[in-house]
Amino acid sequence: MEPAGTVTSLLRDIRDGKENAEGKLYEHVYGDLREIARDFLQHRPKGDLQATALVHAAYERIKKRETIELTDRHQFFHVLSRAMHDVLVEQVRSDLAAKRGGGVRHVPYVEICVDDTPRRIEILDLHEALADLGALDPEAASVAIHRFYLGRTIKDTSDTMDESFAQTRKHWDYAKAWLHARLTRKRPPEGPSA
Amino acid sequence: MANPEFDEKAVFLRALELVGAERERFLESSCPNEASLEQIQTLLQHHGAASDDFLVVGIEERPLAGASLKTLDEFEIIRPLGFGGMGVVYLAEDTKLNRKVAIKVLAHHLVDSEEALERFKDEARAAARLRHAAIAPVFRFERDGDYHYLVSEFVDGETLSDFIETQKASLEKATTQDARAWQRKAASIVATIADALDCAHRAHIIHRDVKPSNILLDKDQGPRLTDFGVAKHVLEEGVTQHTTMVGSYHYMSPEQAGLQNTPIDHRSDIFSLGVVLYELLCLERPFDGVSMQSVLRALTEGDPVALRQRDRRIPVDLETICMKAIESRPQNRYQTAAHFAADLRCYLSGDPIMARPPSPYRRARTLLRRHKWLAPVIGVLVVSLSVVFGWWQYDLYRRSRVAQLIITCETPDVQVMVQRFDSTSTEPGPATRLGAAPLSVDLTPGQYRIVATQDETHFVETTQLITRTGESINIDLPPVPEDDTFPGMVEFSGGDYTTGLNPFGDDNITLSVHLNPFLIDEAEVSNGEFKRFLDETGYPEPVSWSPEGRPADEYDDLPVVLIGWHDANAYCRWAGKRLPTRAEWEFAMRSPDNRLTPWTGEAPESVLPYDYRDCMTLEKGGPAAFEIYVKRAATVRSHLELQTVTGLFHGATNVREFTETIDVGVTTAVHVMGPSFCDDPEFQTLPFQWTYPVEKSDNVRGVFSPGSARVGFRCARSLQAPKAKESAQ
Repeated sequence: MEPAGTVTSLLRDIRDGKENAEGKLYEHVYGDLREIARDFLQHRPKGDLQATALVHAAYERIKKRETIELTDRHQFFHVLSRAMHDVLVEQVRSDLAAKRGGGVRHVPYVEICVDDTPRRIEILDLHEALADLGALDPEAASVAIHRFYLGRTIKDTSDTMDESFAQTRKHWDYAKAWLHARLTRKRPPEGPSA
Repeated sequence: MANPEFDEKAVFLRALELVGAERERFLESSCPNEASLEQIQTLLQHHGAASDDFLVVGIEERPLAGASLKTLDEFEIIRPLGFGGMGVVYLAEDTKLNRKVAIKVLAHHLVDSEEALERFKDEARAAARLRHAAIAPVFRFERDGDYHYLVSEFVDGETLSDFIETQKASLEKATTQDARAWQRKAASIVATIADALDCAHRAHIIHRDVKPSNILLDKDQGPRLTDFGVAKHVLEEGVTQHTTMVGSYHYMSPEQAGLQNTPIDHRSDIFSLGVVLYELLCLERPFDGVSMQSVLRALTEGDPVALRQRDRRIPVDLETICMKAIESRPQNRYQTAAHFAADLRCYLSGDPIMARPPSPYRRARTLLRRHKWLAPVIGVLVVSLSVVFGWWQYDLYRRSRVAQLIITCETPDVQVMVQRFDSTSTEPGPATRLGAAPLSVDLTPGQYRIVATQDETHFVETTQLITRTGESINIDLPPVPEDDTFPGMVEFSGGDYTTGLNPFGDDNITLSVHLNPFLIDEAEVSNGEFKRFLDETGYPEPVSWSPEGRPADEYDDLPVVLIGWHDANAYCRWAGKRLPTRAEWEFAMRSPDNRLTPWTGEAPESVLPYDYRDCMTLEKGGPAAFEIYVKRAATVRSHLELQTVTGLFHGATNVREFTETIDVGVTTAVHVMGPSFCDDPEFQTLPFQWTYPVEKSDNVRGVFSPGSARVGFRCARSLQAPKAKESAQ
C-alpha cells in the first residue's frame, strides 16, 4: 500500500516547481489507474464503457483517499488523462484482462465518426496518431487527449491548460482536423507493421 | 514539411476564418507549393466533416468461457445467466432450501459507499415487499466478503428480447392470421406487465429500466418483470450518465434521458413499456440509431413513425394505444399503468378503447363491429343529425380555432398579403393575397408577416404573433412610404445562409435559410427614439419601466432596454419597419466574409471586460440593474472601431437584440442575438444567440413580458414585397 497523500504531496511538488515532479506523479498515477481500471472493469461486467467514465471512477476513488486541492485538480486531470491513454494501450498489448476477469474480457476500442457513421479503429492507431501529432504540435495533442479521455468540454480544457478559450479552441480545431484526416485515410498498402 | 517557412497550423487556422474567394486567395498566397496547399485543403475538409465528439474511446466486453465465482454463502453457482446493468446474473442452487435461484452480484462501483449501499438495501427491501404474479420476487440481499448480491426467484424461460429476435426470424413467412395472433399476444404480454407496474407504482416504486431483457417469459406463469427497484439506484448513483445509459437508452423516456426538464415519475415507466409494445408490434424500435447520440436525437425529435406506416396489418386501436403511451410529454400519456392495461384489454375484447377520446366515426366503427344490426339505424340518424348540426358545428369549431385580425392601412387602395412563418426555417413562408384593406381575416395561432402593397417596391410590412384564439386584433399599418430611400439603414442582398455557427456551443443549432434582400438599421433604437414613439402614439409605457418610469433625458442616446418583444415589434410597426429575423440579423452582422467578430484579432480595448459583481446585479433586475446599465452601456452609433465593415454598430457589444424570430411551441420564445456589455468578452461573437420567453400577452392592449436591462433591438425592412399567390378563401 502506498502511504496516504502521495498524490497530494506530488501535486505540491509540481506547484513548487520541483524537477521531474510531474513525471513522478505520472508514474504513481499510472500504477494506481491500472489497478483501479482492472478492478473497476472486473466488477462492472456489462456493456461498453467509455474511457471517460473509467477516468472519473478512478478520480473519485483517489479523491476518497487523498484531499486534492482545487488548485491542483487541473494538473491532476492532465496527468490522469495521459495515464488513462497509456493504460488502455498497455491493456491491448498485454491483454491482461483475459487472465483475470470474471467471465469477460475487456477490450479497448476506438470509435470514430465518418460521414455520421461510427467506425471502429485500433487504439494503437490512435496512439500512433496522437504521438505523431504530439511531435508536431504538443498543445493540440494535449487538448485532444483531454477531450477523448476525460470527456471534457473545450471550456474545461482551457481552464485545465491555463490558457484562453480561443486559444484552446484553435488547438482543438487543428487537432480535430488533423486526427480526422489521419485516422480516416486509407492505410498505405505497405506501411511498416506496428 | 519540406519548407520550414510554412506554418501549417497557422495557415490552416487563418484559412478557417475565411470563406469563398477570400480563402482561395489567402491559400494561394500562403502555400509555397502544391503539396502544402493540398494538405491545408484536406485539413479544412476534415475539419468540416468531424463533429466535436467525432471520436470515442471505450472498453468493450467480450464474454470469456468459465467464470471464476464458485460459491456465495450457501449458494452454489451453476452458470452465468447474463450480464445485467448492475452486475453478473448467475443461476445458483440454494443448498439450504434446495431450489434454484437467480443471483445478481452487484458491480463494485454500485456499493462503494456505505450510504449508497444503505439506499440500495432500502430499495431491495421495498421491492421484496411487492407481491404480484407478474413480478419475479426478490428474496434477500446479502453480502459475502467483497460481494454484495441479490437473491431472487429463478424464472425458467427466455427474455422478451430473445423472443423478439426469434419472431424477427420467422417474420418472413408470417400470414395475416399469424400477424393477428402475434398482435394479440403482444397486447396481452404488455397488459400483464402494465398490471405489474401499476402494483409497483402504488407502492411508490418506479422501475426505471423497463425493457425487453427485463421481461421474462415464464414457461408456466406467463410474463414476469424483473430487476425491480434496482434501476433507480443505478441511475442516481451511476458513475456517469453515459455509462448507466448504455444498454437501455432505446427504452428511455425523454425526461429520463434528461431531454426535458421534468422530474421522473411513474409515467416514465409507461413510456418505456410503450416502446416495448411498439417494438413487439412492428419488430422495430420507435427511436433508433447507430449510436447513443443518434437514438437520443430521434427521441428529441419526437414523433416516431406511426405503427401502421410500418405495418398496415396493425389495428388502428392498437396503434392509438401504443402511440399514446409513447407521447413525449408525460401529461399526454396514460396517467396510470392501470389505464394502459385496461385499454389493451378493451382492444383484446373488442370494446372501444379510451385513448384519444374516439371521434363519433371511430366509436361507431368499433361498436358496429360488435353489433351489426345497429348499422342501418345509426346510418339514418347520422345523416339527419349531421344536416341539422353540420353548419353550427363547423362555425363553433372554426371560431374556437382562430383569432380575427382586422387590418387597416393609412394609405388607401393597398392589397394585403399574409405570410405564415415556417416552423422549420423560422423565416416567413409563401405569401397569400387576401384582398384590399381594410379587411378582416381569421388566422390560427402562429406567427405571421402582414404586408400591405401598392406595388412591388412600395409596401409596408409588420409581424403579428397570435397566441390565443377567439380574440380580435386590430392591426393599423402606417402609410406606405413614398420614398424608397431609408436613411440610417444598410442594405444586404441576402442569399443562402446557414446560421448558428457559434463556436462556443457544443450544441450548435443551425438553420439553413434563403434570405431575400433587406435593409437593417445601422444602430439600435435609442431611449429618445422610443420615447418619441410613445408620445406620438399614446402606446402604454413598457411594464418594466415602472415604478421608476421613463428613463431621464440624459440617457436619450443610450439604446432602449427594459422593453418586451411586443413593445419592440410595435415600435418597428410604427416606424414602417419590422424586426430583423434571426438569420437576417446574423447575416448582416457577419457580412461580408462570415466573420465571427466585427474586429480582427484581439478585441479592442473598448470592449468591456466581464465584471462578475456588476453583471450579477444586472441579472437580478430592479433599480440597481438600471444603474449598471447606465454605467456600462454605450451611446448608439458610438465606437467606430467596433463597427462592422458594412457600417453596423454594436453587433457584438452593447445590448443583446430582439429579433423577429419566435419559436411558437410549448413555450413561446424569441431569439435574442449578439452579446451585451454584460457578457464575457471571450464569448463575444456575432452568432451569439439566446432565447427569451415571450409571455402570452394581451395582443390588443399590450401588456408585455418584462424586459431586461441588457436587451434592446433595431429594426429591419424587406427590400421587395413578396410575390403572392391568390387566396383560396
